[in-house]
Amino acid sequence: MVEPERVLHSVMVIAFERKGIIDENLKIINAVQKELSLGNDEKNDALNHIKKFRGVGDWSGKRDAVVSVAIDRIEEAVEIKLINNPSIQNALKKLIDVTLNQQIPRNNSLSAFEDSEDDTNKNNLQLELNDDTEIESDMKENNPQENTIINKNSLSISETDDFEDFDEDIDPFDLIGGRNPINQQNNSSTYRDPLDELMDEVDDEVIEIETIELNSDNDNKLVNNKKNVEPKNERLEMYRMMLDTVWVDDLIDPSEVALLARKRKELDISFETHMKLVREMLEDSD
Amino acid sequence: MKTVFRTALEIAWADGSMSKKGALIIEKLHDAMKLENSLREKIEEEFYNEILNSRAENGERGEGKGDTELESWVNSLIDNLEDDELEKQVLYLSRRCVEIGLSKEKWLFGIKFTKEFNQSNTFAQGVWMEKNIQVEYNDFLKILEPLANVLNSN
Repeated sequence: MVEPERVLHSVMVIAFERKGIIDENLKIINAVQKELSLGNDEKNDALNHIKKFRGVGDWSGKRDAVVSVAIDRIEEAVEIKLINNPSIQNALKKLIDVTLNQQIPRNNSLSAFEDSEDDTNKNNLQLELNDDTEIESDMKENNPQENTIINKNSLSISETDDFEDFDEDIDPFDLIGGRNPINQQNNSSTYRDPLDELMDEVDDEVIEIETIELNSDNDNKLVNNKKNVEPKNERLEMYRMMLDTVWVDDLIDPSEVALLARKRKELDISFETHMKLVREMLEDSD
Repeated sequence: MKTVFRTALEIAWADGSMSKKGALIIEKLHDAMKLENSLREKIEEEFYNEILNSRAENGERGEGKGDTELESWVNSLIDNLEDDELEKQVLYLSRRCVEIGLSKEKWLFGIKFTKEFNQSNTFAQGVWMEKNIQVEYNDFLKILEPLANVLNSN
């Protein structure tokens, strides 16, 4: 089970990335902190970790991986009812959706240079992380008895007219492909899990080799080929980043250990390498 | 949080001196644990600096009577070291400590403790889910009791 401290850390990561700066007083953070019954020590631990590793926002070039892991944890916290307040659940879902929307590459490679603020407002749900007065109406409807908490602590969300077009039922993991990469081909979204993106660079080449030379349907062989071609340093850095986040509150739990074990297999990282990285991480933290 | 060999040294020097018999038992334990010489040197150096140095400065001397207790303690530990249950219990302890939340401090102690008798890799494999065991244990071999106590503490 994901630890409450790590859920708060993940919410802070996503909220900061959404806002573009570190602001520990965001309402969503305070709301989640209260919902998880966490004190300021836990919040400060998470904050210090983020400050240490976020840099200017690129997370040493692994921003997408960090965001992906954070989303994973928040989703799990909601699924297992660690976060049980419907208003907060709703706010987090929207925050995740908007974060994912932001990450979807545009069809037009020049569009990033062409977007005006107005265009952005038309296309996206607006999350006003700092607005003390605006309260999301559907958050109240979802849980009227929690209005006091919402008013004091919740993330404020306003919608544009186009918000109704936004699919409320969409699973963020369908967008990032974290749970079922096979379905990604049929997904209109072009966003890919950063781990998969690393492999994409060699994907076509591997399939071609598979068809012409091997003529085999052996998926394992294909996966192994990808791992061999993938830059080792990239994989190690990706894994190191994940490893570093699991001890953010000084405790590891089974869900994190399981996640790391899965990633070791996916990234073809040996246990010996893992142990070396653990030692390095502990030495760094000393 | 003391390891096995460190505890053995403390028992052997309990009254301020170590007898020849005590020294022989220490060697017997060293061999049974297959303790690396470099690691032993480090443990003895720490023990000297933390315990013996101050005793020497104070002129404390004993009769090496710790050897009697050391002998019975070491004999039971040597049996444990040859027990097939040892590896399984290390695996169980390592899995269990993750379930209740494993801190960096406990991780480091677990590795340090088990390294003395060449079970640190087993401990690490259990923690990081490289190996699993279905058996549950309530009681542990004597050699593992200090580790179990530390890992189960808050």
